Amino acid sequence: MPLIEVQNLRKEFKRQKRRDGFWPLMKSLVYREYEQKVAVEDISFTIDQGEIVGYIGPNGAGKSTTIKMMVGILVPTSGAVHVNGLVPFENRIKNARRIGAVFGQKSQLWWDTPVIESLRLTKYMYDIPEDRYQQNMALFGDILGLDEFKNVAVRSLSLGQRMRADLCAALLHDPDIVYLDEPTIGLDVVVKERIREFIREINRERGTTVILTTHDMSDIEKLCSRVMVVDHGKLMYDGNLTTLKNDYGNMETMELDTEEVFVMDDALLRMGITSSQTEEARTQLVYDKKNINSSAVIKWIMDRYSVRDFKVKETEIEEIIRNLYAGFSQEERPRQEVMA
Amino acid sequence: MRIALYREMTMNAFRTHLAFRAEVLLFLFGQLFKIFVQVYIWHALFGDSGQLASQAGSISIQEMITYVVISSVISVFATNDVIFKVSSKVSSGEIAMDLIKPMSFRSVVFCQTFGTNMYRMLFELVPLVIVSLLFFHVQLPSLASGIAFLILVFNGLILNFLITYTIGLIAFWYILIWQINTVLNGLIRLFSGAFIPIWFFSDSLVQFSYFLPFRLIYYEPISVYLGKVTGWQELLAIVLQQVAWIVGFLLLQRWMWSKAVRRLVAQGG
Repeated sequence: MPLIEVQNLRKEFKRQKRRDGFWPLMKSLVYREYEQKVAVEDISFTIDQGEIVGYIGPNGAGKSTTIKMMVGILVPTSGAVHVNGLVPFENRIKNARRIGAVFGQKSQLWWDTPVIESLRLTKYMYDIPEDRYQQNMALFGDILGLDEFKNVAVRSLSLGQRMRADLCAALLHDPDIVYLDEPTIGLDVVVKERIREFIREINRERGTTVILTTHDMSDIEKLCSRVMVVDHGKLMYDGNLTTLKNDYGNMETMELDTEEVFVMDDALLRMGITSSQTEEARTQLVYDKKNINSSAVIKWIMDRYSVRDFKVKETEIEEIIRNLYAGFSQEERPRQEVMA
Repeated sequence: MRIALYREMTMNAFRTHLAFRAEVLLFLFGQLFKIFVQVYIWHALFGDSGQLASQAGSISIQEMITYVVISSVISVFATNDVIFKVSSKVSSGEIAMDLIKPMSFRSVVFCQTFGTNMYRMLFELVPLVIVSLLFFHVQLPSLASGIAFLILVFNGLILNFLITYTIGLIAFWYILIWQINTVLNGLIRLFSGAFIPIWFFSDSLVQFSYFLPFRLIYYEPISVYLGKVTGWQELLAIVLQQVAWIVGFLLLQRWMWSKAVRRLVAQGG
């Protein structure tokens, strides 16, 4: 039986329509209009013990809403979530004992309390045996480097420190599952690396199932064996990362600065350049990595132009999602030829 | 058992307050000012007579001053920020962080409130009692009245917490409800007898106050303290009323909570 089972999950929010202006505002005191917003629409998936799943999508796609339903904070409008065989929102406290969660934007620690005291409270909260607590504190403290700020009140921590303390708090009780909602948001490279290392370690050593949302592609690349992409509340892709990149992330963009004004040539189109854009000395060429490699393109151009500078950019995650989305809608409307 | 957890949560709230020392003195002076103002108002009202007729017979100025002091003592505990706390947790979305913990939301709020109360007991109540004993002639109760008083105050404080918590839950529907706090404080001030004993109320107001739970928090315990209520039947009637209101609010908050979580819209992210 899978650890997490999500079936036809749907969540709608009722939101008050607000209008600008004095009279509409006065009117709203008496009569309010509401609109339905669908945050999550018919999502189904299963997750097995020990997986690290990246849950990605643009802002407002419905990632956090899905996670909050799995944690048991939000009640689904329809559909079902089962975690460890339990319905989270009906068994919130029982479910909470076996999961850990980090919401990047907020802290679960006690704001005015020193880190070490705050973590000690989690010990009582989850009834962690003393020896287990000491053992975990020693191990986590080491990987996350908690020692340098353990006596500081949580409110005075830097973002990176707070995130490390929060991660520690979420994992002290050896949860079966840990939900990480943007755990690396706003952090510098060193801290990011430390946090990734920690997540990997916990997953490897304890078999903890990890579900994480992020906007950072390297989080996904370094951690996740499986990705799920959501957009507009719908699950658009569920599978491994390599397939996703091969199918949707194979476009490259080359940016060139040339001495002469660049003129698009049929020969390039035949080579596989799908679009070009020239603005004074700067030119952008987009092509499919599978059809042509960047060295062939740059060779062709350098033979004809004097190139001052150039760089090649791989597709970013947002781009992949956009491609995914475009791929979906293309099934309905006729394919458009890409213009030069 | 989860006693250890509650103890730790409470102590944590207590320690948090210790970190802000300036508050200690400000609170203390605020309370003392209030007592002085009230004592002198009653002195003025009593004039030279030293006695005033009331619903509960003749009241002496000594009894009145004792009433004021005891009322302030109770208010040290009964004034809480539960409504504000619940409301701000809901509006900021911080409530999500309470809900991922394996503990009921009510217990989280209760431990925080109780920790604050302990802090206030040390830094407000103790100095308040000392100053009152030094400057005013405060009557002491008989042993039996004293014990009965403590039981009634304890029940009253639980009732007070449940009232504020239940009202705080309205935040799940209307999000910002601080003004409800103002209304509630007005009601409590008038109908609990916190400022003016119900002795001095007109008949219709006395009748009305019997339909509200607030007098069970201030007026009734203080009456017992002053020896105005002595019969054990009367005492039992007060305790039963307290228990009935407590059970009522326990059921109400449970029902509201079951509705509230279903409508929760976690704000922000």
